[in-house]
Amino acid sequence: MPASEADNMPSTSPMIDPSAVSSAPFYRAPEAVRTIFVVTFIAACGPLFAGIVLFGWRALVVAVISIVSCALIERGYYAVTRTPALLGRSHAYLTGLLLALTLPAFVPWYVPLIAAAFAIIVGKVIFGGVGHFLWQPALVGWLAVAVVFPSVTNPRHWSLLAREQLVTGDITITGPPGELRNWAETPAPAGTHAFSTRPPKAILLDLANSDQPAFSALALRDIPELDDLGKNTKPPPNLPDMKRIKPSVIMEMPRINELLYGARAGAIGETCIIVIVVAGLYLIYRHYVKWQLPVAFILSAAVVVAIAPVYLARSGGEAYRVWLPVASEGFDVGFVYVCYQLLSGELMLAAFFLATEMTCRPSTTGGQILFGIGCGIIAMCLRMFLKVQFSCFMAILAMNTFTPTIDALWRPRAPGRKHLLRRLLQR
Amino acid sequence: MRAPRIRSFGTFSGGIDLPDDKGSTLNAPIGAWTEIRRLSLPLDQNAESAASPIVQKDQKVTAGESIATGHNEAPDIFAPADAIVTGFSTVEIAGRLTTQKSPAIDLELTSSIELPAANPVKPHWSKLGEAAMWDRLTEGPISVHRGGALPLAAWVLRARSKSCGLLVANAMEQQPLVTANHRLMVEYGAEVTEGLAILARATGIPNAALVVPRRRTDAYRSLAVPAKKYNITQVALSHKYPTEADTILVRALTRRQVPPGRTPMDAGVAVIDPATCFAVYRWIACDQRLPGRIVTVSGAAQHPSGNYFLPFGVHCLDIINSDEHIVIHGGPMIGALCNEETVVTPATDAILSITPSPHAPPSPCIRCGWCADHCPARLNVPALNDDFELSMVEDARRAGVSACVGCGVCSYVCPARLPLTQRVGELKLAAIDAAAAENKGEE
Ligand code: SF4
Ligand code: SF4
Repeated sequence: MPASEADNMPSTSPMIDPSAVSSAPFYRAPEAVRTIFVVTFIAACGPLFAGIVLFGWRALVVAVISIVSCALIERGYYAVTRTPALLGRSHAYLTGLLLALTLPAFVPWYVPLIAAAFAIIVGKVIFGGVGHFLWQPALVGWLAVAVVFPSVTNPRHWSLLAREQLVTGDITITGPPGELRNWAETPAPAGTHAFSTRPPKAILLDLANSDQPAFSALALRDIPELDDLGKNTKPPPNLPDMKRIKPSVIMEMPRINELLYGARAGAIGETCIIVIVVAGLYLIYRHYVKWQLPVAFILSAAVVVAIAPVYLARSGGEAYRVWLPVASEGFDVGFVYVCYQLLSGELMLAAFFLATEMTCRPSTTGGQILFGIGCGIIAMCLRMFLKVQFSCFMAILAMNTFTPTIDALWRPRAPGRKHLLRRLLQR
Repeated sequence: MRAPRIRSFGTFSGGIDLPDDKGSTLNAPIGAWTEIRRLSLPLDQNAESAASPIVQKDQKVTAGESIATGHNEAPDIFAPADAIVTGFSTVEIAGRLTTQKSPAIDLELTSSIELPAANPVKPHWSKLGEAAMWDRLTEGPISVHRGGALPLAAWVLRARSKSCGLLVANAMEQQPLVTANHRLMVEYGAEVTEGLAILARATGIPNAALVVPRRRTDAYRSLAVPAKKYNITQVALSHKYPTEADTILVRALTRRQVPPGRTPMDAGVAVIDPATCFAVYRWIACDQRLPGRIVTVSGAAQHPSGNYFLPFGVHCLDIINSDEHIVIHGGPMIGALCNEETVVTPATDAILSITPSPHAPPSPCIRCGWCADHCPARLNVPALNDDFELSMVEDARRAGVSACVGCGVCSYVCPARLPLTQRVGELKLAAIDAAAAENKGEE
């Protein structure tokens, strides 16, 4: 055999299974399903490491419990039902890791365990294992614990390690609740390792509160009483007779650079945007993810938050509805507002890691764009109109349900086949 | 039909860049294989055109003697060398979509077979009249293997009846390891070009093109002269596999789409391979019956890897017999395993002994979508895989399964190692059968 030929053959196992080589092609690309899962697992370790740094060793404990119990439960299920576990392990590890990324670091030990049980049993194996499930299994596990233990998975006050306590701190030793605006320069309350604070997306959610609006504007800049320099005296366009009694949103939010490197309250894997985007780009580079899906997801979410109404307070405290918030106080403020909406929640993690699960996304590019747009619109509509906090996860589960429908409608056009539109018209 | 415009930089969606891997045989000159002692000449090229033997067992035959007469335009079969008929057997040949069985005459050779030198006869073929040319074509021993086998005369008739506007010699040889056409073009390129010109004249097609892979154009510079003489356009297309599949080539070259399950002639383009052009030249212009073709052989015990002139009917396992590796005929992407009965036919461009990539058994489809992304026929392969598992032929037919060109790309990329090409191929056969049954019902 020529040397060039030998180089090309990956030799992972010395055995040749005759049934596997009986038909052309006799060359195979080296990528195998296990590789896909293992590489995705390694990419997802990026957000996990960021989470361990930001939320301390408890994040690692949650991840280990989740991964180990996913693997054990799956193996146990296959042992009990006596079915062979095809590819079971590598995918179970991946599911466990993604599940851990969606949980806060301070949950008690039984939460990841129960979530793993739901993820593997309800989310995966009853559908027939890898390749057959309808909903992203990690999100099924997350949904189960979010419903069963709302007070631990989504408490009113989350905690966040202080700067000097990173990695080694215990996130459950928290100080009194307070507003946190400048994480890098704030020491932890005495005797504690972490602040107790509201996650930024909960602050943004107050904008959707039509009964008791918490804010009077998106940005402070045209409030004469607070404007020390007095330069900006132009009357605000939409808010004629406002008496500013309440703060503005952007002043309440953490700094945007803290959002980017993840120093904010949130689930283990959702906060560090930089790492998520880098890992996601690697997956795109490996062709595991088509760039169209996350881009469609994020852009459609941006469009919805740019349009969907927010409620601001007027003098006297009654609510005042502003459509098109992106333009209401000038596009610069609107742009910052949209960025806050996109960066302060679980959207990035969802767009790059959870929506892209191969089995539950449509298989064609067009279908994936449709899927991404659906996810983005549903996620932000849930958040802005129904005040759902983990709306991106919900939106993915909802769109997963429609994946078979999208796949049936949106197929690539074989030569000689009619276009989708013409086919639909003829029915 | 109006002549299509040739797009020199044409391409198509889907496809994949394969490893080239031709290094070991690319520069090996065509050699002779003298150890051949027995042949089994297949009689049926396809169901419609078969030949019946006119010799008996133990009869002695001399080179050039007719040993079987053809029916339905099938060419007669001639003894390629002095030989003794040892009996009748069944062989396996590459057929349409799959391999097929054919009865055969077994010969025991008493002289060896080599590639004869070109020896043009007078008058020059361009002086032949229309009728004389047609007579020679119908007498000829040549059949065209594009998909199924077809006697050359029938192929010419079909090209005339579809009034094609373009004749293409498809020298896109893109599968790894296969170099037979490349060597043929390098060493006998002028004859191939002339053979193409003969076919253009016979079919009455005004435009002819010679399509080669862009990677190898350096080797074909000398063809510019004969191509210019016969007004043949030379085109170099990109190496994205499978441009070598006829329907894909037509799409890349002319942007015309071949309807699913039809031949390129239905889109007004006749496609032929260089080996046939070569055989046509040797027959029409030199009055020689070529008893074999150039085949890439790699991994044989007697000879180093290279390109050899092998007679038709030689058993592939006589050429390579390997216990450690598997032996395939055809390229690594679309070929088939050799068994005891497999023989060389005009469709065999390579006999290779390869170590297949060892891999885990197939696992369930994870719907990564790569197969659909790379399918040159734009089929939704994961959906077809579902159709296969649920035996939903009708569904697959509506999805256009008969557009599949059997290129093997889907199996190549599938991380779950599913035998997708085979499955889609079976669906395609079933869909064609269903369509045929339906047509019968309507009549
Ligand atoms: S379905 Fe057919 S045409 Fe498409 S990649 Fe597979 S073998 Fe090639
Ligand atoms: S390449 Fe294989 S695993 Fe991926 S979608 Fe196609 S059939 Fe499924």
